[in-house]
Amino acid sequence: MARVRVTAAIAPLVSGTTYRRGVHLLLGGVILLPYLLLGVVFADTLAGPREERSAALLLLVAAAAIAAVPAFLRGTRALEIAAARALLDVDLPDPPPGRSTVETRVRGALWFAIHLVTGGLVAGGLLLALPMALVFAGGWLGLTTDASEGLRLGPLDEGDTGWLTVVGLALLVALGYAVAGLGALAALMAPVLLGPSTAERIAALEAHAAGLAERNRLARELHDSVGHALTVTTLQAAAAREVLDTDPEFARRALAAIEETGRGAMAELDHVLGLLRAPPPHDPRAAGAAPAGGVGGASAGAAGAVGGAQPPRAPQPTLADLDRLVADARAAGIDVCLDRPASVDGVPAAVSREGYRIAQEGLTNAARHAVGHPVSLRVAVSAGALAVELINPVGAPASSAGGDAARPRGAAVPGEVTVRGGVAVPGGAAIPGEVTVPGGVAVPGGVVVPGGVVVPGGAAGMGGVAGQGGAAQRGGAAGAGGGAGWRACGSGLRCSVVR
Amino acid sequence: MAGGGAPADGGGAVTRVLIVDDDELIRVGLRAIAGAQPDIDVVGEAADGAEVPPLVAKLRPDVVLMDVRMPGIDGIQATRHLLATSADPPKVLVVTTFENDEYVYDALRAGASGFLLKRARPAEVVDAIRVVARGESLLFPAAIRRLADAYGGRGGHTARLPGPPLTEREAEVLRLVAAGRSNAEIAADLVLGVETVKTHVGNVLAKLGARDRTQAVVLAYESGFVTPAG
Repeated sequence: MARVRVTAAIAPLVSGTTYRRGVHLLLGGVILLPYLLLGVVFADTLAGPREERSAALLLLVAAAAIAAVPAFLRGTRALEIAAARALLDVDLPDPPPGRSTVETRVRGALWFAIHLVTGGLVAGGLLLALPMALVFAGGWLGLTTDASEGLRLGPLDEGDTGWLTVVGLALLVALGYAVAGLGALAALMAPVLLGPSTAERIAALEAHAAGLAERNRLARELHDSVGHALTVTTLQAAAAREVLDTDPEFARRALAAIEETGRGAMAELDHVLGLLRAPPPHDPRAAGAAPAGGVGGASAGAAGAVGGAQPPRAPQPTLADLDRLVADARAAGIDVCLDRPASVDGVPAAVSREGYRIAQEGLTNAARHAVGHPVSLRVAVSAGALAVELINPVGAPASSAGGDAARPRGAAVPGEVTVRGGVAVPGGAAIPGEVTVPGGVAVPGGVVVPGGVVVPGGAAGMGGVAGQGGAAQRGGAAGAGGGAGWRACGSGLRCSVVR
Repeated sequence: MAGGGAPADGGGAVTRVLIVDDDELIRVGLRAIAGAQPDIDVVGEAADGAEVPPLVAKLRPDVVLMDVRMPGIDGIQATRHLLATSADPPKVLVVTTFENDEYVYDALRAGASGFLLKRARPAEVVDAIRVVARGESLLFPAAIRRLADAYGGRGGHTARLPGPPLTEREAEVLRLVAAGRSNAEIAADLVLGVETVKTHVGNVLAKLGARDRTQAVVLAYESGFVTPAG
């Protein structure tokens, strides 16, 4: 029992944790050194001739300001986090990319200051205790030095080598306990001062949730589409076997259908699993490839799609259903001009669904904000990329589009609002000048609207500016597509399907 | 009326079937399987729930194979509409891709007579059509019991069914009906004659004020009279 207590009592002195934490504290002391030297120099100068003092004071203020800067730097905080993780055994997340908040910086600076001060104390204690213990022990062993000559320590003098050795060792032991205590305190404090702020934690959780929601949506769609394909092949195979003798021609067609369905399902599996294996959008590793705006778009879109408690009962529409969508919009009174390729079969199903959603959201917005104005919807498929572009003139002033308030009421501003979305195909070429997000919606440097629809060049309804961009883009498209019908759409006329 | 589901009992009566599914490959497959039977005649196909009422009026099918997920009018709405507006509606056999489809229970509430997985074997498909055409049994995937649990199974056996109380025998019959047993199977289980079982079923429907077996089963689950465990 007593033995256990002794073991527990000396545990901090023999534990590797204590020594690692001691190293961490000493690092603070090492960083403190230049500050100390600077302090000594200024103290000397200020104690010197009076005429030098005012200049020195000015210099001191400047030096103090410069010396304070490292404490507030992001990099310093990142280093402190790395050091705390490695030496204090504290589990801390990486600092999030982007600018830190003032609160985070102040907490980081506070930690830095505390680290330096405690580090300085520990280093000072070590510099005091270690030589003393060595000298006393040396005296006891007869290795006399001059160091302890004339020493008076309470009742002890230089002759009491045995007792002085005990005092030296006691100093070392006390230092060990102090380091263990301060190290434990540092480990306790590190999450408070170096951990993410509440806002950062919420943002990280939200990003994580959005990423998960996006993945869930992809997984659910995969389950639906591949499950459907497997059902079709099973049913077709069953039917073929049933009528093999009586209707071999049916069996032949069924086999062809099975082959095609299987191939399509495999392609879809390949594609979506590729997306699911890609690092999530908020992953720091992916941050370089997908700037924050684009990620937000994908996340917001995912959140919007997943927000409803129940998945849609109808199968997820793809670009193949575009004609039906446009017909619905026309039935609702929107003059839609559709320009689309003759076939969208080559577009991967997941991308095709995304493209349909963009077109749907765009038409919905047009119906809401540009009533009575013609809408041009262009869908273009090129090697590895899908572009969806929706252009409509700015609606009447009465409309409630975001930017309308910026314009004087009653003044009809000629111009167009362009809603444009591209979808990047993994492994393929992204649309030039547009940001791509794995599995998500490409954002051409614009404002991201939940639902994955984007407005380049600013808020919807900023009229002229966005319209200019839209017009320029349209011209290019006309050249590329070679469709005179596309250009004619701009003047608001009959809707035509090009090609 | 033998439980085997062979076409022998009808004496040449042909079951007219309408297939409703937005996927042509599914329609073609179901048509080939059902159409290969001498006692089943596939009289038409529809790709959307909206096409169902006029087709039913024109073709007078006995059984509608109804997909749940369709663009436009889905299978649930179509079933509800069909059973509410037709004087002599056909039996609806809902066909689903997934056993755990959350809309299976909606379909049951809408008045569907049975459920069939699209991946079912050909023999099961034709058997389901025949059983539903006879109007005597429900075909459940296991999932429906879990769904029913989520909706109304919390009451355990402290059942409060609407209408006058059931006799012990009638309660027993209702439990077996809810378990998807046919009249012949119930007769065998309870060592009764099939006609006696029919009488009991008729009494149960009358007491509950249920239109058909489906409604009776919905009531049985929602009141907690029947729970997934028993």
